[in-house]
Amino acid sequence: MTHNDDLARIVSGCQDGDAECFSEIVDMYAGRCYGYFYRLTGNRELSDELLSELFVKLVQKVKTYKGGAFEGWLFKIAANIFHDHLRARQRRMKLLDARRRDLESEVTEQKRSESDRGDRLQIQLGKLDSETRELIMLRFYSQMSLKEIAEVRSEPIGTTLSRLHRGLKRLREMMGQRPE
Amino acid sequence: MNDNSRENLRDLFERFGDSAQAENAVDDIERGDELLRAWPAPQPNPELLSRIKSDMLNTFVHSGRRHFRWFASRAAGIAAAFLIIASIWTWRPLHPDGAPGVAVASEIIPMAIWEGDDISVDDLDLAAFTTEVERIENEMKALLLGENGSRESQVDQAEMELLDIKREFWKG
Repeated sequence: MTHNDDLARIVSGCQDGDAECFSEIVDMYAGRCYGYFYRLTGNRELSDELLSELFVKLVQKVKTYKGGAFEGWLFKIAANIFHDHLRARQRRMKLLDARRRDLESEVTEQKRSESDRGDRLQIQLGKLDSETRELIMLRFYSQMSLKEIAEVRSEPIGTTLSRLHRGLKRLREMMGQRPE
Repeated sequence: MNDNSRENLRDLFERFGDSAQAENAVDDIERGDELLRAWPAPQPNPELLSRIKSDMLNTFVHSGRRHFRWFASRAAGIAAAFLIIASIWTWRPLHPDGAPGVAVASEIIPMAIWEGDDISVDDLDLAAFTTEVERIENEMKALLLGENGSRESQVDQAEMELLDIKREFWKG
């Protein structure tokens, strides 16, 4: 049985509410999706929440999946969940302006604790603009083609290519790898 | 890792520059990918995955129940609407010529009976019954006082008559 056949069987099982298939789909994609959320947020607890939300959404929406690249479908939901999270955070920041400084200091502490763990990549990723960071992570973890990514992001493929190229080059420089 | 997107990188870049530039760009991207692979993100812990699997199953069960409740409430609503329309259609009064008539509201027991002090005035049947009972009572009194002859048999006869009247009355 090929990967695609196997995936089709698992997705079909999920549509029927098969517990075994739910388990298999989590085992197949949880690592990559978690990596995607973690690299975008730099926060394990938040990534836990977003990952849980993603798989609950998967159950609610799996009947609308009509075939095609499953990774693309799944990561589109993941990207939407991340954007919802960003919007919610922005609303909170506006509403709780008085608490803004506290929250910022929490984020700083969070970044510091990540730094203590020695994840230099996470620190340097945080220095990229959010659009570029999201594009790099979407491509790396979803394994979608650039054409699919450009469609998901509703932008010309030239823009996607150029942003990806500049972003990865800059990241390498920040990580101390000189272009050869 | 990005097997799907690697396939046509060079072709894509050649659309926007010469082959040397495309070569450099593909090289930059591949080195970037190597960097990301060299710094793997942490993995979710097993407890989280177990909880997610359990949540997925619960979500599926609840969404099924919600769907059933939604379907049942819709079906009940449609059935109720159908019954109301059917009952209005069936009970709609018609004139003898078939034209729709005017609905007349009525009550099983007229309100005047409940509100009136004199029950015999309010209902003809009750009035007749009351009159008959009063007549028999008078006859009974007369018999007991010995106003008529053969007192015993006449009392029995009057009682039988009273029972018959009562029975007939409740038969309607």
